[in-house]
Order: sequence, then structure tokens, then C-alpha cells
Amino acid sequence: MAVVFKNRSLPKHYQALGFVFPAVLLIAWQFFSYNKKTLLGPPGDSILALWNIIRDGTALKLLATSMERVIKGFLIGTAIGLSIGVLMGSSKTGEKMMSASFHGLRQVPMVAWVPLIMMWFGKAGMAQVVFISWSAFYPVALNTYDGIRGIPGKYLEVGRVYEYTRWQTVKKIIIPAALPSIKTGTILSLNMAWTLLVAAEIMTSEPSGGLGDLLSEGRETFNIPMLISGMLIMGCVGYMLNQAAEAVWGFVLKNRPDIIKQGGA
Amino acid sequence: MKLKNIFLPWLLPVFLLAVWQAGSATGIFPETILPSPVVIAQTLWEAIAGGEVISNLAITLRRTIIGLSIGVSAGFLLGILTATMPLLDALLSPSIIAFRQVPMFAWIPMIILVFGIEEGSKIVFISIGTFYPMVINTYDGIKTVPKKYLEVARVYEYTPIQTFQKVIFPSAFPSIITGLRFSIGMSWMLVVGAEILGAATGIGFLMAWSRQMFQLDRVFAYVIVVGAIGIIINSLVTGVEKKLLAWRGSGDGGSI
Repeated sequence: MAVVFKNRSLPKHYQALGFVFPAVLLIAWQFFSYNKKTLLGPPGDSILALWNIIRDGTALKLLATSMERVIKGFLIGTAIGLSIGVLMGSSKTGEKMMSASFHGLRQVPMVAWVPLIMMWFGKAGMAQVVFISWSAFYPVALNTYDGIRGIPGKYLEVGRVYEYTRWQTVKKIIIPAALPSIKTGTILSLNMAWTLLVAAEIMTSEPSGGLGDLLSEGRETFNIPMLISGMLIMGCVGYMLNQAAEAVWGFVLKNRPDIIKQGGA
Repeated sequence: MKLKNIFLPWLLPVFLLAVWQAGSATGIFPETILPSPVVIAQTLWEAIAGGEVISNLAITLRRTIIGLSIGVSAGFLLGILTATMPLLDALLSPSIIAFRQVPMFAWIPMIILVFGIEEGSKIVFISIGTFYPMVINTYDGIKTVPKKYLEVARVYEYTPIQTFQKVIFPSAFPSIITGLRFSIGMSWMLVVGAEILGAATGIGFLMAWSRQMFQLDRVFAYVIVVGAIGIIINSLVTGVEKKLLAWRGSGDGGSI
């Protein structure tokens, strides 16, 4: 405690310390599974399992199915979320009409919809897309709405000076000015989509054809290496999705219309 | 104008409910796919009066509270330790960030295998899930304590403990409360999800079971219960948060 805040950052090479904890974990894992036959098996088993499903193409096939669901669901959810967010943010009547229903439904945790959605939209494929759209919808709608409410009045005055129509105001001022909030919303909803995809895929009673199968099958057959490789793939892909979204947004925000940038938003 | 303000928020729900009821009454929506609002309301009432909702809800809430307490305390402690000790920060933070990349629900099959299907696995799962928001927000709150505050502490020649008590903790407090709010909000989603995925008791189990029995009216009734508890938790937390943070004036350089 004596060094509190005196040297906030350690020298660069100390970053290598980050590998110590995982290394200790791996060694302990190896050690404990060395001579007794446990369910977990040594770390090598999990790495081998991962390598095998990557090599024979299973991983890619499952990943493709999962990705297709996430992307479809994300796009549908984002599109609806944007429209509702813009409607609630830019029209007083729209806001009054929607907000009670919107906030009321939001209180139900997303996963609680899964049983209903699965009964309505069948077991594999469609149900996951609907569920992901539904869960991606809220963060986008909410953040779009917040972003629009926070637009400084002077931007809207510019629109009035240019005599923009309502639609032009939305397209040229409201959406570009709300973009940073919309960014937050879409990144949240992408994370949400990826997290809940897993839930939606392991809640089906039959194989769903996606990455979730590695988990449910691993659990049913007590195949922990398969389970762990599934978790590893999900973690890595989730991380990459997040990075990709940040990169896309970096590009979009750099190319915003000039009125907003000069406004110093 | 006043009347319109009261009237408008109800327009959409009432309209939808009316369409729904009319559709069910005329048989456009078959009972097996979309039970009518009246049937759902009756089912809900019977489920509450019959006691099954209350007893299962008690089990669910117990799991939530135990898991939440463990996750939040662990997150709080580790957040303080990693934020104040650079060595521990370098050792642990990369691992915390890496583990966090695995989607929460992907832990469930593993946890069930290791800890069994009942209490233990639910509590471990909720603890892990509520740990992250807490550790991250505590860490951020402490890391973003304005430098000038720490200088004041140095001027007063506070000991490290005093600095923590009088400067760091109060300054990080709003961020810690945000973490707590996220953790609490998350815990409700996690417990319901975990119970849907594998449990023999609890409100989430009732939902999953009714689905397998094709009793949609029950599934709907439980969705309403889960939502209502969500609203109660949310408004309690928001109320307490407002009280706790009421001392904060504006422009104090706080970290929300």
C-alpha cells in the first residue's frame, strides 16, 4: 500500500507479468491431472480437442452457422432499434406513446423470452435469430434515444437556417450528431448478441448446428476438452467481433458530415 | 393537453391487448400458440394463489442474494487490490480481461459438470457473472481519482490508509455504486437463465418446464412474474442509488 499512486505505471517489461497467472494455472492443472484420471484431463487434451475440431472443419462449420445467426439478428435488431430510437428521440408524441411499453418490456430479462420464442419460432435457426434481434434491439434503441435527446439545440437551429425538411433534419443532423451514442448502443448490442447466442443455442433440446453444440454435447458426454475448446473459440471470436466493431466505428466517426465536426461534438 | 399526456402512454399497450384479446376470442390466434390475455391473467392468479410462484421465487431469490454477495465482495476486494497495487495489477488484470471474453452463459455447462445441477452451480455462476461489473467499476473508479485530490492528501500528510478512507474511496464511490447496480441488474438475468438451462426448482425452472409441457399460458404468466420482480429490483436500486449519491453536487469531477 505504500506505493499507492506514486508510480502508477510499472516499467513496460512488467507487462509480461500478465502471463504468470495463466502459466501458474496451466501448470497446476497439468500437475493435478498427471497421475489420476480426472474428467478434466490434462491441458494437452483440451488443446488437442481444439486442434482436432479446427483441422477437420467442424469448428468452422459451427462457427459459420453461429455467425450467420448473430449477423442476421444483429442487423434486424439494430435496424428496428434505430428506427424506434429515432422515433422516440425526435417526436414528443412518439416518445409519450412508446416509452411506457418500451421500458416496461425491458424489465423482463432477455433470457426469460427464450422459452416463448422457442415455442413460436421452432427449435433451430429461426428462434435464435429472433431472440438475438430482440436482445440487440434494446441497447441500440435506448442509446439512440439518449443520443438524440442530448443533441445541442444549436445544431437543430442550423437545420432551421438551411430550411431542412423533417426527414433532412433526421438524416443530416440528428443521426450524425447522435452517432457516438449509437456507436455505444451497437457495440453493447453486439456483445449482448454474442453472449445470448450461446444461451439460445444451448437452451434447445436438439443440436442447434452452432457453436453452442460444443458446449451441450460436451456436457452431455462429459467431454470436458470439447467443452473447453468451445469456450475458447467463443471467447476469441467474441473479442474479435468487438474489435471489428470498434474499427468499423472508428472509420464511420471519422467520416461524419462537417457541420457536426465543426460544432465540436 | 394534460389529458393527452396521461392518455398517450396507455394507448399502445391497451391497443395491443385489445387486438390480442379479440384475435384470441375469434380464434385467429390459436390457444396453443398465443393464449388470450384473460387466460394468462387467470393462470397468473392461480399460480400465485396456489403458492408455487412464491415458493419457487423464494428459492430463486435466495440463490441470487448468496451469489450476488459472493461475486460483489470478491469483485470489490480484487478491484481495490489491483487498482492500488501496480504489481498485482500487472499480474492479474490481463487474466481478468481474458476470462471475461468468454460469454457468461458458456460457463454454465462447465459449472454444472463440476458443481452439480442444484444450488452450488447456480451460486457459482451468479458469483462469476456479478464479479465482473464490480471489479471493473471499482478498478476504474479508483484509477480515475483526480490527481489533485491525491495532492491534497499528500499536503495533509495522510497515511496510505487515511488516503484510502478519506480520498480514494469517496472519490471512487459513484463508480463503485455503478458497478453494484450493474451487478444487481445482471444477477436477475443470470439466475433466470441458469434456472432455465438446468435446475429442478426456481422460477426459471417453472418456465422451462411449462414450455416442455406446452403450457404457454403458464410460460407467459411466469414471464410477467420475472418482469415484475425485475421492475421492483430496478426501482429499489435506483432509489437507493439516488439517496446514496445525493451528496454529490454538480461539477465535482466525479467519475460517472
